[in-house]
Parts: sequence; structure tokens; C-alpha cells
Amino acid sequence: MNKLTASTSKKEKGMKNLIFVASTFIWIAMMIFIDKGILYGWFASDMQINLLIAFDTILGIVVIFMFINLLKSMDELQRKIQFDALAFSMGATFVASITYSLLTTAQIVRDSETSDLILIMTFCYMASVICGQVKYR
Amino acid sequence: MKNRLKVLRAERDWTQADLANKLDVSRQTINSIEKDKYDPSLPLAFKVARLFQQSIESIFIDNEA
Repeated sequence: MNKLTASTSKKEKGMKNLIFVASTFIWIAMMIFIDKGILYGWFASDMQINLLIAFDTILGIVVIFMFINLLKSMDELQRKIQFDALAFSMGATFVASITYSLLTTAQIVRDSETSDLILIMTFCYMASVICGQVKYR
Repeated sequence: MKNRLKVLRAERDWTQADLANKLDVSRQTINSIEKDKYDPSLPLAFKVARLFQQSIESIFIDNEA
């Protein structure tokens, strides 16, 4: 592969990354907007809320497929780092949700919030990706 | 698994980035393979062997053999 092709490929990958990050940001921002909108009564009708939720869900599904495509465009070591991080975050969230459930049953903590689990998953995923990047730098 | 990637690369006066471009992987991957932190997949090992025109066994040495 010559330098020009390699450079074009890097640019394409960079653009893919940028589109993925932008889409994820729009999806999360819209999710927060809908949540706050319902809470503070910003929307005129239920129809408007339903349409926004449907659009946000479709955008979420698009982001999933974009992430799969992003994984496919990575080289094998980067993919390994991502898969390790996904496995770790999924395992940690699974254990945390069971612990939460047991603590709730024992009435030691209040009802668990889904957002807490999403926070744990995000933190574990990011921490694991950073550890992977440091390990294989 | 040990390998002779660094030696073969040095013989051709290639940088890690040069080799990474030729194999269409990241420089980080080349560095990790050279430092025995990461074992390449079979397709990548074949690609390396083809690039250096040597057999896989002469480049990658199995510790358990």
C-alpha cells in the first residue's frame, strides 16, 4: 500500500470516527431533551412525544450499526482492545445489576435506577479501553 | 510466541510506521507484536510472511515447540 492510499484510508477512518461520535452525541442530547421535556411539560401533545421517542430509538439503532462498522474498520489489535472493553463492561454491569437487585430486596438501598447501571457500564468501558491502550501502546 | 519482526524490519531499514502501512495495520500493532505483547492473527502472520518472502515458522517461533 502506498503512502497516498494509506493517508486516504486514515482520513476515511477519521471521518467515520467523527460521524460516529457526532451521531452518538446527537442521540444522547436528544434523549436528555426528551426526558427533560416530558418532566417540565415542554411538549404540546402526546403525539409529539411519541414521534420524538420513535426518532430517538431509530437513531439509537443507527448508532449501533455505525459502531459495528467502526469495529470492522479497525485493525485487529484495536478490535481486541474494544472487545475486551465490551466484555469487561458487560460483565461488570451484570454483576452490579445482580448486587443492586439483592440490596434492593434486602431493603438496604432504594430502588435501583437504570441510569446508575448505564453510568457503571460507561465508566467500565472507558476505563477498560484506556487500560488496553496503555497495555498495547 | 517470539518473532523476528524487528530484525527483519531493521534489515530493510523500515520504521514501524513503514511496516504498519505495508501491512495495513496500526503502528501500535507492529510495536505490540515486536515486544511479544500480542500474537498476530493467522491472516496477518501470512501477510507478514508474504511481505518478507519467508515461511511463517521462520518469522514466528512457538515457545512450546
